[in-house]
Amino acid sequence: MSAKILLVFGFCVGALLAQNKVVRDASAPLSEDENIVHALSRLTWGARPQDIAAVKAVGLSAWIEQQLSADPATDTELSENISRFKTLGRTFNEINQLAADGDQGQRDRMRQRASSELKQATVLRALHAQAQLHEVLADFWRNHFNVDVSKESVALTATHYEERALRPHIFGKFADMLTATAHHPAMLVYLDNALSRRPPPRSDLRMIERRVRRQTGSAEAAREQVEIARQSGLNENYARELMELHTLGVDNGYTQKDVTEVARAFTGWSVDFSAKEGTGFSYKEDMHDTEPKVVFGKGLQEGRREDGINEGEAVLKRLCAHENTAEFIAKKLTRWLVNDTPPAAVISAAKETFRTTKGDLRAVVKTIITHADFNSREHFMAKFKTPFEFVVSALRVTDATVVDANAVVEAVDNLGLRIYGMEDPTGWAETAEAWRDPGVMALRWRFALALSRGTLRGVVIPPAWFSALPADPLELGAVLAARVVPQGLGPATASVVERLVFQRVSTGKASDAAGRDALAKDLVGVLLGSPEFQQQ
Amino acid sequence: MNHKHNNTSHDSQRRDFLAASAGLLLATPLLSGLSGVRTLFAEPRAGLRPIAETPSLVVVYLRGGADPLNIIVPYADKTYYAVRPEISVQAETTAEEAGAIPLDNKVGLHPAMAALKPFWDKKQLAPILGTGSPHPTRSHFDAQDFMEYGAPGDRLMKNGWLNRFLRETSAQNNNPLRALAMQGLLPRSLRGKQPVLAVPQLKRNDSEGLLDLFDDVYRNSGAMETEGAMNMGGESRGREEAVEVGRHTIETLRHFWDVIDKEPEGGQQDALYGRGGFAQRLRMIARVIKNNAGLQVAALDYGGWDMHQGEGAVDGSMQRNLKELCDAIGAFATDLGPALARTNVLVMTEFGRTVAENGNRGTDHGRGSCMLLLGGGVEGGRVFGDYGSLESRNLEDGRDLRVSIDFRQVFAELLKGTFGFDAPKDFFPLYTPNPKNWMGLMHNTVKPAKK
Repeated sequence: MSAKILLVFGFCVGALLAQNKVVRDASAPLSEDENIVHALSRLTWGARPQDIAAVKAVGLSAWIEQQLSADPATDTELSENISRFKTLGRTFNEINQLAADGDQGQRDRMRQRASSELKQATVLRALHAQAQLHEVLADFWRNHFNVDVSKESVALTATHYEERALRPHIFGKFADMLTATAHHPAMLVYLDNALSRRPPPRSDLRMIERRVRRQTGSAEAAREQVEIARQSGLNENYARELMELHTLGVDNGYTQKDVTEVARAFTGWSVDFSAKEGTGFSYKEDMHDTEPKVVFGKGLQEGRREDGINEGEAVLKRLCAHENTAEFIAKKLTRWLVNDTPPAAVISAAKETFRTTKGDLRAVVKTIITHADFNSREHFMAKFKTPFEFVVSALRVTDATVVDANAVVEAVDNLGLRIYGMEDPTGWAETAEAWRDPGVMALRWRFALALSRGTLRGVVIPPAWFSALPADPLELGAVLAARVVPQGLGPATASVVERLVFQRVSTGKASDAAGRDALAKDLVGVLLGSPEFQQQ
Repeated sequence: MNHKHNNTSHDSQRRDFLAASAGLLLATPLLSGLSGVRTLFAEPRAGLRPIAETPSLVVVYLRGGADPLNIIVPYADKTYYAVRPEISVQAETTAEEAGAIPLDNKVGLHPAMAALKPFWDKKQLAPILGTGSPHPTRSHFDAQDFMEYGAPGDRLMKNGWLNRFLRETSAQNNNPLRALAMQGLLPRSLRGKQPVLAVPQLKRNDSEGLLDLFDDVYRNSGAMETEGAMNMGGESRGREEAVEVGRHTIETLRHFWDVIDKEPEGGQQDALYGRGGFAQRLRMIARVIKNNAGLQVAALDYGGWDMHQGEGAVDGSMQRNLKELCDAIGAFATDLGPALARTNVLVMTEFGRTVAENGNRGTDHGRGSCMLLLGGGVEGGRVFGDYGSLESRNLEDGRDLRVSIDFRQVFAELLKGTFGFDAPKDFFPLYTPNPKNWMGLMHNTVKPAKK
């Protein structure tokens, strides 16, 4: 090896390692730069160099305040990106009208279009929104109050659901969001409450009893048939998930009896897609169970039929005021924003804020992200990105232009996460355990290379992005490493990057513009596929 | 030279070469670059000689809580028809509608399960009725967790029961394809300390270069061993965990492709299988088994059993799902041929459903359920357990089948029957399977072992 090349190699190693100090004291506090990288990694969909610069310009706490008070409605860049979607921003009746006109074929096309545009808007919002924290939380809540567009009419109502039931309350009151979801046709259909009806009236039950007794002569058989009739029609799906997933947490303060009683309280909360006005919510008096109900050992108000809405509301109110709800939401938000194993001190502070502010979500989020433990090194880069986070952060860090947002939806889908397509009401998990399986990594590598080399349909890293990079291959390697992985590379990735640059330089392949371009693309592919980039 | 040694030396040669030429490989544009890599390493890898025939366990999970009463139909029970006026499977096949396929004088298979009947006749199929968890949860997510971790009520357990089996026996078998999930993400039963491949949907020709490219990036730094996970801080720990997963991806996927590309002796009967994804995934598993790649455990999920509405009798989602499920399992068992003798299939779900139908031609979450066993080691041609009376006074909470057989009992017998594996104490937390209680599900659990 010639002395010149050795010298070059030495520079190269030096340049990269200077950027990427890898050995750190696990207990040392984060540096100022690391604090910024950490905040951006959790409160945005991926840190770009311009984001880091913006935070530095105003200071981290001021930037956090901005994010907490950002109004997505004033985001003109975002609205330009999604304004072409005609099913967005519609009232319920407009959407319904679009679907109701025409034959079955047209209705199916409209369902198709509405769900496709919702998915596309979801990725574009994550990618482009100025109010990034708001978008991170939007994803939290759309998974918390999951609905699946592949179920029946949900495709036609999910856009309205996201826009009117979830988004207005992201920095508002938990109770308002819960109430909005409970009334929304997307949820009522998704969790079957729209179908849940009271058992037959007492007069019918008496008739059944008399008939069976006459036929069998057995009082016991008659009682059994009455019991069976009483259970028919009631659907517990929503009642159970309301407590298990939306408020209290699983087996956290309710019994099977409570599930049945809550289901009875919500009978009659249904949908009417034919109404010319309104939100699609329809209280159907004749479906409501008017018998008295006991929830958490306390009677709901005695049921006259017209009180059916009040009974459901009363249940929601009790759930919102329940201490276990404060704890469950605090813990889940902390897990999402801080670490898969959420730190107890942050949970308890968030729970306290939830309690004292009666579920003010802006205050709860602020408590979490301004808590002293938020910046602990234990949490720095400790979370494995979900497929959605991985894809969007890759597009952001490369300033990729999305020509067809469907391509992004598909890319996320290929990695196992179907946006607005989770069958289970749990929504998609955020924890590493759910995504970090052997095998999946190969799909992430494929995506990384396809994006960097421009073979991913519908998405392109602008040529200008590459041409603005330093011409010197050594500098190029260092700049790209620092840009894609601002926290610094681990030893294996650093050495592959170094070797790659070295080989190209030493074989003369990086001496012209085309060679440097090819090198830049390969470097970006390797960096996006690296273990470091899977973490946030 | 044994198989393993052969493989290792080849790998290390290849890595040395790769290390020296990483830059050159990367220099070529995408497609030609990748195909170049492929050509370089196209010589057949060593180690594809069949290793000793291994018994295999294939676990199919029906997600959503499948309705036992419309799978193994209690066609002789009047209450069944009384409480399910809309969605009961009739006892007799008539000109208008197919009825249950009787197994004994009490229960029969749903007519969509006809493909499994021949295995019942050959005494290779056994339904187990009244299975479930001692934990009363009717939450899908808890019930699935508890079952797949083999630890009812234990929310801290993070190693699946199949993963624990692999871990316990890793000294006897370190084959990279000991276990796999034929789907993009692992089911919880296979999650845990022992890394297991979730087979991604990738074509070898398009993707092998990927593995070569990232081979050097996903190198274990050894930091986990030297520093210890707890002292590393979240960043290094997270990176090392990702590296470990990446390494396993590279090594196992290469091996998987080698196995899949090989035509099994006696051929593969692809035509047996339907075109659906479930059938095709079973077809791949059959190929791995027939090629004697040392596969012990394969798992795959089948979703869509949470039939709150539209379940129907022979005209709804139950019919559609069961037909696809059983046609595929039937094809799989036929395709295996002689290898079925050392293969067992378990079909399970998290809980049963309400005995009575709800108002929407469906059923709600319940308790006791059923399982199906099929395979060479199964004491088939018998129904194990029973539903008991379906009258509400005999049901749990007046509405659900009781759980009379702990699912861990079945797991334990199946591991014993398939692998001769005796679950050690604490294999199932707070539960020690007692051979005295064995139901005799498998040929070698028929007689209780001494002591």
